[in-house]
Amino acid sequence: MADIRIEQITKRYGGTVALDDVSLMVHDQEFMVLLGPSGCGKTTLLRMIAGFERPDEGTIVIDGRDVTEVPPGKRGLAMVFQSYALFPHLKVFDNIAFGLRMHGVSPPDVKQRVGSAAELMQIARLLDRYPTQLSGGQRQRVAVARALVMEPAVILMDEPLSNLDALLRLQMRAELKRLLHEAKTTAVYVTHDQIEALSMGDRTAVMRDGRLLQVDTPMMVYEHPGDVFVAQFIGTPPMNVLRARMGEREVDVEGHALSIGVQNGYRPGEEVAVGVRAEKIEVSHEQGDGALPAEVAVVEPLGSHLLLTLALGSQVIKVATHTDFQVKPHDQVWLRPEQGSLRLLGRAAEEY
Amino acid sequence: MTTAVATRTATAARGRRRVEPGRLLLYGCAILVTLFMLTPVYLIALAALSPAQAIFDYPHPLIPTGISLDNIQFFLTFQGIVPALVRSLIVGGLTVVLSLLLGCPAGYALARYWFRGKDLLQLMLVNVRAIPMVIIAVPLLVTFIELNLDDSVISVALVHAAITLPLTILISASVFVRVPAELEEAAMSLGAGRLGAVLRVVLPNSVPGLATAALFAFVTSWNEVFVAVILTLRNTTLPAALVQQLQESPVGFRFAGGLCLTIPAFVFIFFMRPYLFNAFGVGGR
Repeated sequence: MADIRIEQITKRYGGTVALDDVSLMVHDQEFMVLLGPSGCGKTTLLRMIAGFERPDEGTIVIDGRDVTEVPPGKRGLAMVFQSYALFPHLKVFDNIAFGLRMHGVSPPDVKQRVGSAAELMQIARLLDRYPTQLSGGQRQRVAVARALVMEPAVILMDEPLSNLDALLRLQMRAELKRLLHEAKTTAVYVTHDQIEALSMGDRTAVMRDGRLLQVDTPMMVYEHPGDVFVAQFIGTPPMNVLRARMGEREVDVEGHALSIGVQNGYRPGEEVAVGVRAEKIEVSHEQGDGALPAEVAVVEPLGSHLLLTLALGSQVIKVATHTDFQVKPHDQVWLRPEQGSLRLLGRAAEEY
Repeated sequence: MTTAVATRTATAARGRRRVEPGRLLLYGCAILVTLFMLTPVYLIALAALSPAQAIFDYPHPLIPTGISLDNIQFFLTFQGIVPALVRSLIVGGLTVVLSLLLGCPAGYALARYWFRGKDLLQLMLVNVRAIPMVIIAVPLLVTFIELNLDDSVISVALVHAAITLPLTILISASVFVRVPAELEEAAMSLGAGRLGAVLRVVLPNSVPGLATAALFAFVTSWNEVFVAVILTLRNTTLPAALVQQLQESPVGFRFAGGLCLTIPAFVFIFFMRPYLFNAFGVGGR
């Protein structure tokens, strides 16, 4: 039971800045997901919490104790590695028992605790095997058991599901979420998979170029992205980002005014980026109030819905609609964003 | 029974068809190399195990005409030979221990850390072999006399360890590099210190490679003559003793000595073999 306070961490490797003044608060028993593309610093931040890297500036406080200079084994946390990092020369039992033995737990207790951890992860019948004799999914379970058996206050996970095939990943995702909830540990989970971030975390911290862009609940990050990058990194398909011109209480997209309410910090006439989710746009064959004309370019039936790619003037927009909507390429249709679904994502300086 | 024969011929035919030219060439080369290595050993063994006068038979028979342990017995009972053999084993063992004890930490440092002058150090390690022993032999002897270590097993083992150290460092570094750093981190996150992680995780996973280093160290020490001759007078090793006595000994004695020199190396390699094969990624437990 512990919270983690990361205070103004900076880390440089030679000339590159891996972490740039990062501050983050992870609450007790919270499931925090660090999300970002490769090289964004999320793994560096995790390794810093674990104690494998030392920050150039800043402090890390776990459960009220400054652990910035404390070695990994003495921070009261356990880690699950991307490669699982099972010890090849030890059987599954001894792999799980390793940490307990390092902490001087008595042999009967070791046996009992390894047994119940193995039971929990459904690997009790594999205890006599060597890691090389296990499948990827089984290794994953051993790695999680090895961490959970320590009953850590904090558990760190570095892309633990990325080496599993798609179906297994789906299963383990739900199982891990349940396990960590039941174990009542604080969890920090690194991933580049936005679906994992949305589905597993209590909160998601989106990172890019060593900086935290946004820390919010998954639904807030999804619905109210802070900038163009977050909007396009999260969600399948990514949020539509349109170039627009700011008006008084509306924006002008390709010559059509869309109501957006009063926005502070923008002046009328400014070029802005406006985001809207594909499923928040109504598409119709008839012209309605405030609807924008668009031409269908691609129609993709995806089972649960139909994904349309359309040309809106000179811009491209994706729209998700019902499968019974009859449409074919080159059709002229009308688009109408739902009330309150438009997001201002900043000035239209960045590329997107 | 006929079906059994039929299947057997069928598998034989299938087996024959599966032989690829590349594989054939590989095995051919392996056989040639093995013959090249084993022929002298065989000839030495043949002569050593022949009756004393049979060595001078002409033409010399290539298969043993009569086994006799006379030569071996004469050699082993000769004054000072058995103690020299024991000393050789001790020196070899000490060399292996010293070389690994000093070489492994250095190899670990090269494998895991970046430090100033690392490249230069690696270059110099390779170049240590370029320094002729002759040049440093006399200063070494003087130093050992000053330290009261002259004419001792320790002095020879120390120099042998120095000779083998560069190779031990390079081999162990390459072995440690192949042990994923994540394994060490996992051990450390579970409560081990860095040393504990190395002892409990890195070393057990490096056994094959370190066995290779040990083998090279032992064989180098076992075969080394020059240092042993210079540094010791009475407490000399087997090769050095042989060199000193070779001139004035009968031919049968020389062959027996040669055989006794090769056998321990063979025994050592035999026991190291399973680890060696693992080290090169062939075979497996």
